[in-house]
Amino acid sequence: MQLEADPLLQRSSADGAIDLFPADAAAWISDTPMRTEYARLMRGFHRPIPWEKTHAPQLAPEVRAELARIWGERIPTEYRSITGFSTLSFDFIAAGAPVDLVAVCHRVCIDELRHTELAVKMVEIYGGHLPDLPREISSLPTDETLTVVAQACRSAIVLSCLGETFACTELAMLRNRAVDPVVHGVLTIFLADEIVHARVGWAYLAHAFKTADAATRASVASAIPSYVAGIAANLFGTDEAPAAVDVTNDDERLANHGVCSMREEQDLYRTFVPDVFIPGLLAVGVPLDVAAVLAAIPSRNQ
Amino acid sequence: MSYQGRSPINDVVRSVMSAAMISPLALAACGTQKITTPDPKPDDTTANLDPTAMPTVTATVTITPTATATATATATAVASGSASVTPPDVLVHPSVRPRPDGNGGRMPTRGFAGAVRAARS
Repeated sequence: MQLEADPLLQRSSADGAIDLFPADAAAWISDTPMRTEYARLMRGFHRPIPWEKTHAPQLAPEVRAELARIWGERIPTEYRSITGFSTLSFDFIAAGAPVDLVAVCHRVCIDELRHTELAVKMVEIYGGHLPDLPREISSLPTDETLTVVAQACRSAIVLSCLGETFACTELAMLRNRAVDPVVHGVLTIFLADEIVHARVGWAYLAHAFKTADAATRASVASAIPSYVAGIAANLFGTDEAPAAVDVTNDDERLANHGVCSMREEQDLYRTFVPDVFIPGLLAVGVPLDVAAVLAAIPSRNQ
Repeated sequence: MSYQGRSPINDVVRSVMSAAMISPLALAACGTQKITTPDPKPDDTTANLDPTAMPTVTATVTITPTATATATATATAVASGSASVTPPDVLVHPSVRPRPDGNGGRMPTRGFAGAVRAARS
């Protein structure tokens, strides 16, 4: 069924009232009437993007190809994020989290699908090939000896307070210097959504810690150095594995199009953890071993 | 290359941390390093990215009510009554989370770029 066959949407579109989201033409959508509902979901928080103003045709072929590759890397990343927040919603419900937080958690899943669609669109703009969607499930670290509140706090921290909040800082940097209106528009959507994704974790943590006992606070705090080290291992590399550079590139021509270098990303993480993440946890009341967290960040010379 | 633009840290502090009811000053008081005072000038980042604001385009797509039947959705009662007896915060974590992926569990990282890296590390 083609979306255009929906008489209601057809009528609205004729009125010029709908800014059609790229999902209407994107891959992987079922050939069922549900695609109409899907399109509505995708448009829910969508902001218009001036697709026709893309700089892609003016770029050197090698730059275009690299941008296509990088946006292609982002497709499975965004799609896989759905499973992380789905798991967080399980943890929230098990812990008796307020329903507004549960609801926002589920909104995040829809956001990640929309980000997937936007990444698809960007790959198409740069003339790249679409990867297969991943079938893997992001498994949040779990400890069955924890209370449900401690587990929910830990999940909120690793996924939202750390991962998504750092994503906000990186997206803000990328967006600040993006000159291509399409890239700027897409990154604006990503950033606006990621802010919500980060906020839901901080909100839950603050809510839970209002009544958390000392044991819960301590068990939450004890896991945090390993979370910081987990992202650091990806950004900086380890003895066993080099730093991953899938979505970074040192070519300055890419900086205007939503890409940063590995060094920039590392520097940002070194600033983010002590200036945002640690103070935030301390302000909420997490009894953090600050020295242990800071030690989890590799120095520049490593 | 090295980023020379506006610090994203202050933008994030202003946009994100208020969800935990943390003021920039409270954050600075807990800082491990000097934290600059957020720029009081409104900029397009925070003006356009108010997470509580709905984009205007949504208003035009709410014209179709969903008319699907919902009568069966609540027909299955939740079998467990334990949650009403035992406070949630003393329950141990249930084993109903998604199954492990067989590699000991990947460390999920940031949504924008990190997960794919974690999968390959």
